[in-house]
Amino acid sequence: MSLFRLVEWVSQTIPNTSTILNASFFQDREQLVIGGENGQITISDPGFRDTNAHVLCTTETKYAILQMASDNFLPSMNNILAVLSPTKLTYYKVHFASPDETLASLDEIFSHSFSTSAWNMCVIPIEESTPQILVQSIDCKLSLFQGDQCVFSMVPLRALQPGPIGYCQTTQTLFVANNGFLAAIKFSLMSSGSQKKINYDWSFNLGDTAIQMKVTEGSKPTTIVLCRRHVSAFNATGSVVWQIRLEAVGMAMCLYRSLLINNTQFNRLIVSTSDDTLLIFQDNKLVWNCNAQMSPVALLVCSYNKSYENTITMMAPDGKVVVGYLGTEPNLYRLPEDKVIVNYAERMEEYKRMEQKIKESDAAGGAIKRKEGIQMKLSIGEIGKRTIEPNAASNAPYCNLIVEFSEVQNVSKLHINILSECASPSKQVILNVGTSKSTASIEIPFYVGSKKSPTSNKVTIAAHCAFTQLTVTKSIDLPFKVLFEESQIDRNAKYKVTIDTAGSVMPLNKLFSEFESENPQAIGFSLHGSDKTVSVFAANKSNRYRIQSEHISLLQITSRELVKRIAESAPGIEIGGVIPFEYMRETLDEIQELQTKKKEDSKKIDCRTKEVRAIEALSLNSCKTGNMGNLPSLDALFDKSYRELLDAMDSYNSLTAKIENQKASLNSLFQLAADLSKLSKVDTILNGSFWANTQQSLRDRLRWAVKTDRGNEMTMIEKLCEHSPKELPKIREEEEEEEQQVTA
Amino acid sequence: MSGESVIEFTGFIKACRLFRENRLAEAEAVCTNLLRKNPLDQATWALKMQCLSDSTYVDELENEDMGLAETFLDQNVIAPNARPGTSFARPKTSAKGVNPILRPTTNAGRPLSGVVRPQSSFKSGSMDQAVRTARTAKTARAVSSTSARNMRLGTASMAAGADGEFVNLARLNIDKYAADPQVNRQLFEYVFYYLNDIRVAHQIAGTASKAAGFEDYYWKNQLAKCYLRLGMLQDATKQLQSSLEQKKLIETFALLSKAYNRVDQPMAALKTYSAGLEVFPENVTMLTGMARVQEALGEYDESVKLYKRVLDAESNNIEAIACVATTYYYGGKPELAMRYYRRILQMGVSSPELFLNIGLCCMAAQQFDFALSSILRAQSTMTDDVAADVWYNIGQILVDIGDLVSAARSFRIALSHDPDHSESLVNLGILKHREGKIDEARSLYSSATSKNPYMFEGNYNLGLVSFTQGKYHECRELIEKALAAFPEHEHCKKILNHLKPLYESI
Repeated sequence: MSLFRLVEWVSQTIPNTSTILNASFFQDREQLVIGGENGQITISDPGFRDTNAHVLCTTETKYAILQMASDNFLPSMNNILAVLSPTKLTYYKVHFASPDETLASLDEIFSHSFSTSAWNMCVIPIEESTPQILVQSIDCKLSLFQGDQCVFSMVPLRALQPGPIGYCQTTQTLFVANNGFLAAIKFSLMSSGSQKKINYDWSFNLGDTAIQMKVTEGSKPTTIVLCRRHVSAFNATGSVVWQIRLEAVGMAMCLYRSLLINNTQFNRLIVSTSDDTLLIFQDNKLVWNCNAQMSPVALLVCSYNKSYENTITMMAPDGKVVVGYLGTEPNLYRLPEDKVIVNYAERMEEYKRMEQKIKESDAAGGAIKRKEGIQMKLSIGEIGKRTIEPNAASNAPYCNLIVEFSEVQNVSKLHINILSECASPSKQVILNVGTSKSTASIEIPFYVGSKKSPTSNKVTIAAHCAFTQLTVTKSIDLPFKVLFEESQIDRNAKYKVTIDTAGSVMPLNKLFSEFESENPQAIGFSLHGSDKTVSVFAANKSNRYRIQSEHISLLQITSRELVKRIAESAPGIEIGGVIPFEYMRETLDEIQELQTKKKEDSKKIDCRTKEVRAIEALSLNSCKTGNMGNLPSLDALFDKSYRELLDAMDSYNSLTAKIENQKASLNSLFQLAADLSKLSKVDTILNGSFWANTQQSLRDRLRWAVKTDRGNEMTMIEKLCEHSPKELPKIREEEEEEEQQVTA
Repeated sequence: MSGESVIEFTGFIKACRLFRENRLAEAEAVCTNLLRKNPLDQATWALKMQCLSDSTYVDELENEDMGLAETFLDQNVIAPNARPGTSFARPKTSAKGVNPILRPTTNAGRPLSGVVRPQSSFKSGSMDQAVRTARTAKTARAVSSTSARNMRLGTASMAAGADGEFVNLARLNIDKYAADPQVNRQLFEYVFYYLNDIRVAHQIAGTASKAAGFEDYYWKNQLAKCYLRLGMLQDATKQLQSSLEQKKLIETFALLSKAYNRVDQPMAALKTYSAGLEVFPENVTMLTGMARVQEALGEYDESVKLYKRVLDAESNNIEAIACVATTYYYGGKPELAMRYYRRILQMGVSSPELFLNIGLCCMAAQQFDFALSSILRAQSTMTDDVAADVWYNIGQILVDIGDLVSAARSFRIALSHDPDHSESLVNLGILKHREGKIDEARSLYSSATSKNPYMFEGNYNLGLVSFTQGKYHECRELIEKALAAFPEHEHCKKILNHLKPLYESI
C-alpha cells in the first residue's frame, strides 16, 4: 500500500450523486453543494465547528442534476444557485433561516426550459453586469442565458458528441472541446445568435476524447484540457504549451491557487486517474502523487474553515464524497512488531533431519521414485543332512535358501541368476509369478559341489524382470556347516594364519558349537566330499588363534567365520591379524611358473597341429595321385602325431585348470588380506574378486589400482595393503562427502 | 426526461456520463440499447465504437512486442556492419562499457536493466540462436510476425456481441465514414485497436488525411502507426516527419524515434528525442526514451543521468527509480540503491522482485535482519515466473554466507522452477567444480552455454575447464565467445596468449 495517501477528514456517501460544487454562501468560507441524479440537492458545511458533516439543507427537485454553478446570476440578489438538468436551467436562492446559519432552505426563483436535452454549461462573466450562462445541448447546440433572459438559443456547432466548454474573459474566447477537437471561437461572433455556420478561430485535433477543460485568465491565458490519455495545455494562439501523457485513464482535473504560494507563473493542477492515483502538477512537472483509494470523477480544492484550508474534495462514481488532505504514514520503517526470531539451534536440528531424509530418499532412488520396485529377501531355510543332487559331493549336506519376492504385481516372469562357489541344481532359474499375486518365493538348495571345492560361502542372487527391466541383487552367507564337517586336527599343515585378540581366547568348542567337538583348544574341519582339511587352534597364553591348512583357499573362509564368531560372542573386542604376503608370493610364483609352462605347451600344440595338418595334406595328395603305397607308414605317422597332440592338449588343459585353481587361491588370499586390513580399519581395494571376471593380467590390474608402474606385483600388493589405498576413481558415492560436510 | 417515479439520466446522456466516468462496459450496454431503437444514430454508434476500442487500448509507444520473424527477417537495418556505438547490435565496447561480471546480462546478452520491457529482449545474433534460445519454458516468443498480444486482440473482437460483429467492415462504406471528421477517429481506433485490422485502419487513416487536406497531424501519426505495425518503416518515418512540420507534439517525436529504433538507428532516435526536448523541455516521455536508447547502447552513465532528469520532472516514475537503483547496486553502492528501492516500496509497489532487490541491497549493506525479512517476504509472495530468480539469489546469498551445500540445493530448486536458468546452472557448476567433480561441472557449464550462448561466465568457465583438460581447440572457441561478451577480460586474453604458441607450433 502506498505510503502517500489521502487522509480522510470528512466523508459521506449519498447514492446517485452526480455533481459537486463549492460555493461561498457566508462567513468567507466555502460550503459544499452536492447534486444528485435523483434530483436531490444537499448543502453541507464541513467546516462547521461542532460537527464535521453538518448538513445545512436537503431539497428534492424533480429533475436529474447535471451541473451546478453559484454566482450573482440575478441582479441585486446574492447566494444564487444555478442548477442544470437535462430539461431545465433553474435558479435557486439559498436562504438562511436561523441567525447562526446552521440551517438553510432553497427557493426556486426562475427556470428556463429546453426542447433538447442539455449536457453542460459554463459561466460567462460580464463586466459590470450579471454573469451569463452558456448551455450546451446534447446535440452540441449553444444557448446563452442572462438572468431570466435568453440571449440566443440553439446555435449549432459542427459536432456529434458534446464535450467540455470553457470561456476566457481576457481574450473573450469560447473554447469548445467537442468530439476530440478543441476549437476556439470569438465570443463576439456568437453573441449575435445567428444560426449561420460559426467560423473557428483555430481548432486542434486532440486525438482523444476531452473530459474536462479549465481556462486560466491573466497575462498568459491557458486552456488546459484533460483527455482520457493526456493533459494538454494550449496558449491563446492554439499551440501546445505542454503535454502530460497519463499512464492510466484520466478521470477528473481541477486547477487550484494556493493562498500561500501566490505565484501565477505556474498553473497548479490535480489530476485523478482510473488507477486511484491523484497526481499534483505544477504545469507539467509532477510535484506530488498519492493514492486516493478511489477514482474520483469530480475534484475540488476548497477552504471550509481556517484550519482546513485548501482541502481536496473528491466525488467517486458510487456517490462517496470525501474531503481530505495529503499525508503520509511514516511508520514503514519501524522494526516489524512480530520480529522474526530465528532459533538457529532448532533450525539446524530441523535442517539436519531434513538432510537425513533427503539422503535416505536419495539412497532409495532419489527424487525419481521407483513406482514398481521388486523387493527381494533372502533367508536361510532348512539344512538337510544329505542331498541327492547329481552334481553334489558325496555325503554333502544341503541348505535351502529361501528367496522371497514382494511387490511383483506387474511381473509375470522373473529370471534368477545365481553366483556362488557352492553348487546348486542350476545356476539359472526362471520363476513364474502368478497373476494378481504380489509375492512369490522359491527355495534353492546349496551344497558343496563335486567338481569344484568352494573357497567362499557367499551366495549372490540377481533377479531380473525382462518386461520392466528391473533388476534386484542381494547376497547372503551360507552356514559354515553346509561346507564343512568336523575332522581330524592337522598340526603340521603348511599354511597358517594367526588371529590376535585383545581379550582371552574363547573355547573353540563353544565358538563352533554346532560341531560336536569337546576340545576347547583345537578343532578340525574338512570340506564335504573331499580330503581338504583346515584346523583351528587356540593358544591361551598368547591370546591367539591359528588357522592351519594344506590348502590356501580354505584359510580365508575359516578365518572369516572365526572372526565373525569371535566378534559375535565378544562384541567390541579388538581383533587383528597379519596378512600372509609370503603365501601370495608363493602362489604368484606358482602361477607364473604355470603360465610359462602353459606357453611352452601352447607352442608344442602349435607344432603338433602343424605336423598333423602336414600329414593330412600328404595323405590327401597321395589319395589324389592314387599312389597308395606309403599309406600304412603315413597312417602310423599320423597316429603317433595325433596322440602327441592330444597329450599336449591334455597337459595344456590341466595347466589351465591348475592356474585357475591358483587364481582362486590368490583371490581368496586377496579377500583374506582385505578382511584382515578391515580389522585394522584400513580399506583396501583388494578383494576376492579383484582378479576375477577379467581378461587383464594381474599386473595390469595392479597397475591400475596402485596408479604406478614401478615394482613387481608383490610390491604393488604390499603397497595396496599397507597404505590406505586410493579409492577407485568415480565410484565413491557423493553422499559420504555431504555427510561429512553436514556433520562438520 | 424526468420520470414520475424515478428521476435519472436516460438515453444518450446516460451513455455519455457513463463513458465519462470510465464505466465502459455499462456505457456500451446503454449504447447497444439505444442503437437497437435507432440504428442510424451516428453519435451513439461512434460512442459505442469508442467504448469498445478504449477497452483494448494499448499505448503504441510502449507496444514494443515484436515477433521472431519481425526481429530477424526484416530488411530494414540500414548498415549491417555498423560502427560500434551506432547500432543496438553493436553496443559500445570501450572501457566505459559495463563489466559483465559486475553487471549480469539477460538471455539476449544485454546487461540487465532495472525494469523489464519488451525492447530489452531484442535479440542480437542469428535467427538460429534465437530460435534455439526461444524454445525455453519461460520466454516463449511468438514465432509469427504478429505478436501474442495482437493475436489476442484479434480474437477478442470475434467474441464481441452475440449478434456478430458490431461493425461489419466488409459492408461498411469506409470512404464515406472515413472522410467524416465527426466519426472517423472513433472508427479508426475501433478498427486499429479492437478489430486489429491494420490494413483497413490504414485505409481509414489515408482517406481521413486526404479529407483533412493533408493538414492534420493526427491522421499522419495514425498512418505512421499503421505503417509501424505493418513494418513499413520508411513510410512511417515520412509521415511522422511531415506531421512534425505541422505540429510538434510529444507523441510524434516519440513515434519517430521508435521508428528509428526499429531500423537500428539509435543516433537518429536520440537526435529526434533531443529535438523533442527543445520543444518540450524536460518532457518525461522524451527523457525516458533517450535513457532507454542509451542503456541499450551500453552508455550507462548517460542513461542514469537521463533517468535522474526524469525523476526531477516526475518523481514517481518507477522505471527511472528502478534503473537508477540498479545502476547504483551494480556500481557497488547498495545503500543508495536501497533508498531508491525503498522509495518504490513507499509508492505502494510490493512485488517479490522488489523485496528481493531490497533484500540483496540490505545483504550487501550488511543489514542482515532486514535482508532476512525482505527475502522471506519475497519468497512468500513470489509467483512462478520469478521463483527461479528468487531461488537463484537465495543461492547466491548462501554462497556468500559459506553454506555451499544449501547453496547448491537452492540452485537446484531454481532449476526445478526454470530448467533454463543458465545462471543457476553455471553457479551449480562452479560448486561442483570446487568439489572436484570436473565432469559434472563441465556438463553443467555446457548446458548453461547452450541455454544462453551470450553468457560470459558459462563460456569462460567451460573454456577454463577445457584448458586444464588440454582440449585447447574447444577452449579457444569458448574463450573467444567469452571475449565477445566481455572484450576487456584480462584472464581470457591471457589464456588466448597461452594458446597462440601452441597453434603456431603446429
